Amino acid sequence: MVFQGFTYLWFLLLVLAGYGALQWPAARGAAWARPAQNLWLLAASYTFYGWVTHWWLILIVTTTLVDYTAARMIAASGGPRHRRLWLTASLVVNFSILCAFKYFGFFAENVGTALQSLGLASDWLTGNPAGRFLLTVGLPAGISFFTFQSASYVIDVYRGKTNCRHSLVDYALFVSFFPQLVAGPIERSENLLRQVESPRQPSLAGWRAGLVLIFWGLFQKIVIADSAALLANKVFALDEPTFPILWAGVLCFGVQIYADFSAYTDIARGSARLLGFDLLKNFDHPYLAQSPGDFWRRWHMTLSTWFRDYVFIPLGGSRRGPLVTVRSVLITFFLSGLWHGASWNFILWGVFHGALVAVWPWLARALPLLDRAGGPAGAIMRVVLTFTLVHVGWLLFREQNVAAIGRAFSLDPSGAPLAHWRMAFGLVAEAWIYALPLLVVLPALAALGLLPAHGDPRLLTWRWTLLQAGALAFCLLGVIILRSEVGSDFIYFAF
Amino acid sequence: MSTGPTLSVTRRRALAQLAALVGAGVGLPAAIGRWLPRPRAADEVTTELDFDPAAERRTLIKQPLGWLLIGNSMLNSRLYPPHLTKVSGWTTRKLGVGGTQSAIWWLFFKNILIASGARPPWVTVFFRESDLTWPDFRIRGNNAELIRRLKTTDEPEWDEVMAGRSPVASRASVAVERFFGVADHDDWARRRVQDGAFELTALEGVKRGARRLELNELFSLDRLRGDLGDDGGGAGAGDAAPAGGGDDSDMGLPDPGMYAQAPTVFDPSPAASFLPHFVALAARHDIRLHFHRVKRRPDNEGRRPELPVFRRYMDDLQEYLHSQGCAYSDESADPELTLAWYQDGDHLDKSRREAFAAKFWALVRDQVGPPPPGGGRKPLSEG
Repeated sequence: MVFQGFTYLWFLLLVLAGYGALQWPAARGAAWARPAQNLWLLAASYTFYGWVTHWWLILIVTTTLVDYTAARMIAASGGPRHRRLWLTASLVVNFSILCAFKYFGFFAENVGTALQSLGLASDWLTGNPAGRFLLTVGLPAGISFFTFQSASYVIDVYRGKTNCRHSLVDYALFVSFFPQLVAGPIERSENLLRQVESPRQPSLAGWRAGLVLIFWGLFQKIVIADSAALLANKVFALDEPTFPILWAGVLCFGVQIYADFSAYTDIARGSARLLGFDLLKNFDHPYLAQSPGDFWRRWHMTLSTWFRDYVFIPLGGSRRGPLVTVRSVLITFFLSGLWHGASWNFILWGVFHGALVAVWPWLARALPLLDRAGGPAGAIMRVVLTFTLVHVGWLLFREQNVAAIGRAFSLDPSGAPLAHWRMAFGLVAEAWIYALPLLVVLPALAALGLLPAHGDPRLLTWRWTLLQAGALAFCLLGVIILRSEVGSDFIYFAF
Repeated sequence: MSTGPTLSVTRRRALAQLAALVGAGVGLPAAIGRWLPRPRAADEVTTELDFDPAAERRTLIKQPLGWLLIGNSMLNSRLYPPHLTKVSGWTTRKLGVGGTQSAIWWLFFKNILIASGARPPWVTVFFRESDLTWPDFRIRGNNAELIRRLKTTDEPEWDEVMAGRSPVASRASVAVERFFGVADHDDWARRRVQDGAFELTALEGVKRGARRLELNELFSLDRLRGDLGDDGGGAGAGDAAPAGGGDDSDMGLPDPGMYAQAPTVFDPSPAASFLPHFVALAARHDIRLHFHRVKRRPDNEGRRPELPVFRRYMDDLQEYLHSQGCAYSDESADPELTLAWYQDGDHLDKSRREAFAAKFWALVRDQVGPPPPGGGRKPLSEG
């Protein structure tokens, strides 16, 4: 079930109707109402997840049961050895499932190639029924997201940062909450699970915010992302693009992936707001970042903080000297690349960003302009430089063929005919016209302090109501008359 | 509960604000949609909206014929029926509307020809690669208006093929478009954005049409890479890979929306396309079907090799058509159709239509055969 289809609209209305009916006794203090609401949301979440492929439910239920049990056992265990054992068991099961479904094909292909080069039988992994099943079954949607979300809870219980929960329904809902199940934001127990356990109070203000977020998300997806995707896909389907055409495609992809992922997040957050939940923010104008590190504090923030808390810091973080820091950064970004996809290009992309983040502070010491110097002009220069480097990364991200990546970097700008420059500018201009509200208008409003945060009392005035109505109308009109003829799945569904 | 009245006022205001938000948010686009003028004829890039299905039916009733040709601008730029009549002896007529594709061709066949009662011995459909099994290609914009005019209240085949295929086809989507009254504006608005981008980047003052032709050439099918799977590869996996051809409307100008995913695997099932329905309906009415594949614009040497992605598809299509008793012809390997025959895109120069008629007849004569006395005209069916 996809957010931009009518099926999701009917589904959401049905969920809201049932949820709203239970809200009535919940608001009057009926003790059974909140658990009943959670049960209703859990049923809805499992329906959502198993809508197309029913057996995926086995995976999410397995992850839930294993992690719920592991956390209980960790909390009940007296000695550190037992606690560590249960944590290890949980992580092994979680990541085994993830690896089997996400990385088996990649692993088998590379092992097979290596064996073949040694003159050995190369099909021992794929020549059996289990191997064939894993090769043909495809990646279950959202598996990377719910695995990380569930694992973070067990680790937090192990670390004593959060309490072990006793309600299986509450925990199962935390793992499977449908608005953010397939592509995040990756929630933490202290945010989402705490809300699952507390009485929710869906408010009219929350409804307004939710509707605006949903419509804005639809605009980002259907108008901006899908339009940019058409342009980027054309370029990346070319056999021998010239330098300007290729980089125009990369810039269009930069628009596509931001709008696409931001759209999913906003629709997820909007849907959750209608139910009285507040999900974590995932983006903060990432293309205004002034350094690669800053970019990762603004892009897919919930994944970045996950890797920071559960990989980077345990590896040594940044307080054990420069070499440990560089090593930790590189390993973290290598794993982040691998998380995105089982392909060498994603690993390259991760390592590229890791190198940028690791090297940048050193460069900034030598070149203060890369840090804080230069005033507004310096800031603009840093934004442009970071934007450029991020888009070099997007080439690695989008192009799965490593040989084609090599060819792309060997293209000669001076060898392209003028007509190709003209067409390249045209393609980028088209993508950016669609993306103006996302890439220019919103950042400008935010910079001017004209975008009140959720909960700001100004939003409850009539003036802001009318402004929001105008925004809603703009999004709806845009979706109707500017929607891309060819729709596509959200990119992060593939991760 | 001393704050009750205050809360009540606050709540009432919040409710009023929510109602205003939704009302204005939804009502404003609807008002704008009704206020916006319909796109002018110059903007109508796909179909000829003066096309009147009822008038076509009346013509078919009045003038029985032997051979009906169905297609789009590929047909229009190639054949002028009197030329074909002259060389073949068959009484011919065409239903060719620029920018149309298989969904509309099916409706031409079912709701104009069959509904008229005319039963010509032969019907030929002109197509390119996988047009015949791409039912949701070109059904929006002005074509949606044409479809609305062509469809009847009971279209089981349409429902079977389109069910769940395209959000455009869904009833809810159609209802939404009608409510907002802007169904005709989507192509128009997107073209405005494209033109705006062109204007912004108009280096050397190149004209818009010329730039579109440049783009058409840049993204032509023979420039596509061969290492992409059906999913298009890349992080956009699942996205439509632009394996599909360019625009066949009128000038062959590219539009981002035209680069949808063309099917590269032939699927003969009735839920996959209108082709099996075409075949079955023709058989029920004793009409022989003939499918003619046109040659895309060749290179300077007149060559247009088959694209690897379509090789298997074309073999399977031919095999299917032959198994169903349909005739098939293909001009794509004709070395005489050099670049000199072409005007723009895949369209032939209209001055070549008479010559093409002779060439076409020579190609299909063995399959279609000579006309019976009277040019093959058959009386109207009683059904």
